[in-house]
Amino acid sequence: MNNLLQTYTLLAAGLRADPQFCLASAVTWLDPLWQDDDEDWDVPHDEDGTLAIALRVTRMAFPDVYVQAVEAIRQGASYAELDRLICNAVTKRGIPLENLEWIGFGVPMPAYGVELNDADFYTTHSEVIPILACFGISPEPNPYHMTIPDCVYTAGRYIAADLEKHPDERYRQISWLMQWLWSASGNSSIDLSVDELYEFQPLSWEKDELAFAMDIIEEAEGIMSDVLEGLEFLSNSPDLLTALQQNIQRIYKVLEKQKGKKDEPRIRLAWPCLTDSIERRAELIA
Amino acid sequence: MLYVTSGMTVETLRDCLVAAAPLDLLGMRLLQTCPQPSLYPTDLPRETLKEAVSEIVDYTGRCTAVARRLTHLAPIPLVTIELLEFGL
Repeated sequence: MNNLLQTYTLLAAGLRADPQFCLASAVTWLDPLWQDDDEDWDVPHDEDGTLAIALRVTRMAFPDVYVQAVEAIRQGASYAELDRLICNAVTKRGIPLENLEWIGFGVPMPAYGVELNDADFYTTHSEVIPILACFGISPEPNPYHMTIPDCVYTAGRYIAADLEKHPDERYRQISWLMQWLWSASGNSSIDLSVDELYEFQPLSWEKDELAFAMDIIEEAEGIMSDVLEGLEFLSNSPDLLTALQQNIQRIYKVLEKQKGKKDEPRIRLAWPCLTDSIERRAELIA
Repeated sequence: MLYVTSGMTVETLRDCLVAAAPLDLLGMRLLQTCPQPSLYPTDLPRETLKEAVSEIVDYTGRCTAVARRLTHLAPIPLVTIELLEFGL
């Protein structure tokens, strides 16, 4: 071992042997941002201090990501590499972070909300067009004048509530589909579109708010999984689509008669019995 | 404040501080067991690293809070202590 390496080893041993040095060394290693000052991390392309914000957020919310990022900076990682590292790690922990620039605004939430007034929705979600047609809605030639009558929302939400507690899981999934289409789930990630979500103050990275955001996202993922199942089942069941259409007409008629009255309509909806329920249960048990 | 009002002596205060348990942080233990000549341990399990960082972040947070509180203490007249150097 040459003198230089010997000196290095001696100094490293000294840092460990003395409790105060050891503590200072541990803090430098694991928590270099402990003083919370705007230390210049000297990463090219981080002109607006995004990285400093990201490190502060990860320090508070994701300590393991924080130390990974610090390690990467020490090894000379570029801004793009750090962006990818932090975004991937945070996304893996349940928060969909697409770009580091968003981290300073609060917890980014997914927005699955349906915008029936937006013509683009029908292009990106063409699979729901046959279902919306049952409600009498179709993409119009002039998309700038699309208006969805209130009675459509009322009917959709009525059906969602009617099927919510149905013993057959597939009907419950159709209920989730209706709750998504008519923004009635109570979960803001499901009910609000991106533009609508931007109107709210985002949740912060504080422990309680982050936990709340993660609960919302986890619930939303579960709901969307049911929505997709319900959509597929309904799309492939012509009898069920016919029953849906008949029920919608029933609701429209009652709503028409009730015009001006404030009473909640009481409508008995009829749904076909899914004949393969028993076989399906057996399949699920197996 | 306790020092002034309770009549605690400098010796008692020193004994209290000396009797305090040594700081035991996972990060320090990891450093002490790190094989030479590396300065910092590598390839640690994610959970261990997370625990060590959380503990240090908590510790440094408490230290910063104490330091902040100390800087905002109201002046305390030390009537029972003679500081001969003060005149210098």
